Amino acid sequence: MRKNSSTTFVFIVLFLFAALIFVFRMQLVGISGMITNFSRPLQAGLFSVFNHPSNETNKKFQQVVDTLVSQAQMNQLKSDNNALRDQFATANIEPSQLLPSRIIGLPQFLPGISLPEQLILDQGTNQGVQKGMPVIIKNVLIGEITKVESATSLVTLISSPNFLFTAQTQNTNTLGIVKGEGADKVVLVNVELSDTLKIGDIVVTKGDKNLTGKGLPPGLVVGKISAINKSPSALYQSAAIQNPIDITKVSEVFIMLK
Amino acid sequence: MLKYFILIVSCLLSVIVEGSITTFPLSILVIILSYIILRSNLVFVLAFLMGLLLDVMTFRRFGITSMIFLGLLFLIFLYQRKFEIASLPFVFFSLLIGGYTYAKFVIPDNQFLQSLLIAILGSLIYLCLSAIHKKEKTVGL
Repeated sequence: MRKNSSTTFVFIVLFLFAALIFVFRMQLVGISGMITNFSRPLQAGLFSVFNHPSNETNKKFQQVVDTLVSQAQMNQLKSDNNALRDQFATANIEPSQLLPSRIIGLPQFLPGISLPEQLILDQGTNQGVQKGMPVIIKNVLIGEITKVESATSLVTLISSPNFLFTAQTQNTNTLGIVKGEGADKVVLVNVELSDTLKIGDIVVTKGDKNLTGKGLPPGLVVGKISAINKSPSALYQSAAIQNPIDITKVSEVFIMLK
Repeated sequence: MLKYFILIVSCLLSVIVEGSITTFPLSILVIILSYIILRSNLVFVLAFLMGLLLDVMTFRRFGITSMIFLGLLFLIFLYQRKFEIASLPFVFFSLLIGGYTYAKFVIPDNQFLQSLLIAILGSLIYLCLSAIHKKEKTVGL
């Protein structure tokens, strides 16, 4: 009887405390910062034990990314040259500040088998990271910061379901919306039937901003079109985008601070 | 003392693993099994602390995981006042229902599959621990 009442008392006290923290959104900033500082090296250590790509894998992966980025940059230079010749304004890519970050967490249902949709980085508000900042490798878009703590941040990958942003193809300047479908699948949707899509064309971010001035910067590579779905009876056409980045083989990414 | 040391270490390990490499709800497995075996108020305190740690590491709203853990433990406590909980069917169903409830709040997909897997895993762990406990008792006699 005594034990029952002590258990009930312990439960009520702890549950009320948890409910207060939850309802009043008590972030307990100092405590969460301490917890993050304690957990970050443990997370990083455990992550490096399970994610150890070989040198050969790294080299092949780097070659693929380098080729895609060079191709995208060449296309951009051609486009700039044409614009200069026609005396229109060139695409003005703002200089950006890049913060290198290590991946310390890659939560998946079955590590090594199922595909992740989020990753955890070892940089947070203490290093100037904010929600909405894009995360890249070279010039290839990986995802966007969706949550931030003092020393860690959560990135939602572009393949995550319901991740949406405007984009365009480099060769044909076709506009569309890039949408994540989970399981590393990314598609370009809402493309007008009258617009041209080509297999192998590179898709880049368009750079649209919302009312608060936030959005992905223009010119970031999303991937290459690998398949086109065009039906005359449909309202729009769509295309599958091949993502060049295998996130399970990556240990470091960059956060665009500006 | 050794029992409580193993409990604290396994709680910490499950939180670190769930916070970094998998969405598999290992922490709920550790908490429910610990309470069924030890039936101690310390498990409530550990559940509260583990919940806070998990919320920080997985970027959930602070306090939600602790509330879920404490709520599930209290339900098991209420059940044990009338019925025996140290049985394999109870372990399986409590992990299945508890795991599914937890997954519904915090895991975006494969919720039933993950809860079924922890129920099976938890039942196997419980069987092993029961066998070890019986052997120790026999040796002691």
